[in-house]
Amino acid sequence: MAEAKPASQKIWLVSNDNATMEVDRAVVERSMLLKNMLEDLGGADVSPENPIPIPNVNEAVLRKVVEWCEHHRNDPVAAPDDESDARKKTTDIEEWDQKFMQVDQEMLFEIILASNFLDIKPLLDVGCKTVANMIKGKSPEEIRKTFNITNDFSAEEEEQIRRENEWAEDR
Amino acid sequence: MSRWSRLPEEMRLQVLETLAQDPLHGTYDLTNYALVCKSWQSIFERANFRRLVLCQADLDGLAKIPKRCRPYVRHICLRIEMQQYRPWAGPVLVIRPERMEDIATNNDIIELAIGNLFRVLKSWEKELQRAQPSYRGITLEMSMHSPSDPKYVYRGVTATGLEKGLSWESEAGHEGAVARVFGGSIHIRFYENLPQLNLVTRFIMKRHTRRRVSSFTLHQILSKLPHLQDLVYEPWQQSLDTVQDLVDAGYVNLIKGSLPKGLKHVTLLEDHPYGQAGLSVPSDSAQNASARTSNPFVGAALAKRSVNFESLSASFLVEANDFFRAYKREWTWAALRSLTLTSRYLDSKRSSDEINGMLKAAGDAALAMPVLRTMEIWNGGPGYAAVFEYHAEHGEAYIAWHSTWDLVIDAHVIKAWEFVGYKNHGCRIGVHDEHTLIGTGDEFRHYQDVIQRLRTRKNVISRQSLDELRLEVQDGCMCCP
Repeated sequence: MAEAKPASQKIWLVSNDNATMEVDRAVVERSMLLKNMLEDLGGADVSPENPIPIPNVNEAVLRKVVEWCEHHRNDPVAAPDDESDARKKTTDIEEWDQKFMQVDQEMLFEIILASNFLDIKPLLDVGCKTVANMIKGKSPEEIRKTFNITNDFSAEEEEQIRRENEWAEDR
Repeated sequence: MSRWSRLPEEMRLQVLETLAQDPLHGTYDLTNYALVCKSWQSIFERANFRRLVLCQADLDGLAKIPKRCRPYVRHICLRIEMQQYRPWAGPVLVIRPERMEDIATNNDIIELAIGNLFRVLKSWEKELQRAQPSYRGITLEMSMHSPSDPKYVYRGVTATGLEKGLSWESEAGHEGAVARVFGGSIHIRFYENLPQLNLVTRFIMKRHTRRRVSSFTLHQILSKLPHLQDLVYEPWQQSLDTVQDLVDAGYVNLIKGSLPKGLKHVTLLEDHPYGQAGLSVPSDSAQNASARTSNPFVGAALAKRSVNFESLSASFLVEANDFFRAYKREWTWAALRSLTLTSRYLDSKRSSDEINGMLKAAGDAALAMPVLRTMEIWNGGPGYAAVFEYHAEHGEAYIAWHSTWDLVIDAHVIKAWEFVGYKNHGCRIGVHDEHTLIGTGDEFRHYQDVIQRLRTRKNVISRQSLDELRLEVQDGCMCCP
């Protein structure tokens, strides 16, 4: 039987570097992983002494993720209709999220990995869009440099592929 | 380890897919992304080659597309550019109608372009089917216009301009320009037979081709597309009744004899210039037409041919009453899930008996549509709108009437539809607000305002045509291919 779960119910999380933080259950439940876990096990056993461990996520990253969940605690669950799907396909990011994602590349990638692990789809989307925006408008060489990617084309291949793709892009 | 490779494969893919599908990418962005490394190449080439908009001069280039990219091509839009023309310099600048030699030259251009496209695609066919047995087929879209069209009509805008943000080609209308754009006809006998194309599953001809393409021409194209599943055809109403009669006879032949057997989804919309502010040039006869009375033989032919369809929307080209009255008891629309039709009976000037009679006939026919989920019968224009809706889902079904005037649905209509609910879904039919006013007449400037309110709107008109129509109604422009 499902337990009562007042929005103000507290849940404690512990990062992989042993920092414990207290978070409202409604905020924690932005993570589908934790939401399902709490629904299966009930939240009563969770306490400051017995927090939920979040492996692979350090304190700094977990605080950022919790900050995002706090801000978006009342967001409606996205409907899987065409229009929202179409929105997802653009690289538009709302203003608060843009500021939130103004972090160094290391932190950005950590947030993406954490949101994937915790199953916070909207945060993962924002993270991926942010990376996409870092790529947008850059030359191949700039992109390779930014993300440390090796060029595995020969000069001839590169020229040929450029010609073929420019033809298609002009159409 | 590079930062990029720290991300799991599925997340890297999500980033790249976001970029690939971003509608706001800049010039050659996709090319640049494809050139980063081999693992990025296929993702961005897939996006880059997915939809190609070509004119006939590009067909040589199409033939040279590398083999690896051919499976990525899912939609080819061939915008055939006919001869350019100029105003005739007299005391007043006038655009004269197409002469016989103009028509012949244009037909030659179109014949060559379509023939070349078919031959290029035919050359891809075997290899595509061998390399990709699950290949889902290609959408073929065609339009015909002269590059001069948007220059001489009042505020002409090209579809390319529309896609990139509006750009008016011209602010000045010329006498005769609209008539020329609407008046040209395209009638081609393909002397060099078109090859049969098995890879085309969808064919589209949108309303921005304003010239009349003869049914004979369409027959020769459609009969070479045996695997066609989807058809979107948005022709224009003719300004002369005598021409319209010929066109209707052609539609009957086309529907009876040319539509490929496997066709499942059909959208037909016959546009008419009535009510579009920017096109109301009194001197052009093409602009004086209003929505016409449809030919009953076209409605009957479509009713019979549609028994194998899964969805059908026909607006203005056929009358719903003709469609339903043609129904024979031995017919079953076994797979039809969605049916949308227009009816001139849905008009406040019609008696409620006439309207109810048509709705009863619809209910009688719906008995032979066992999996029908949605039927919408609608009508609308400046100052009026009406929609009759039947919807069945999850063991529940209802009918509803929405209009700008008051109508009571008769008990015998409700009874006919109750029988549909009981027989097809084993449930009682709900009657949602026997008559609901959907707003005042002022809220409806054009039939497109009604389309926005339809549950089946995606079946009624192509997305691009609806965008163009909105723009034309709002800004009084004319969108060309």
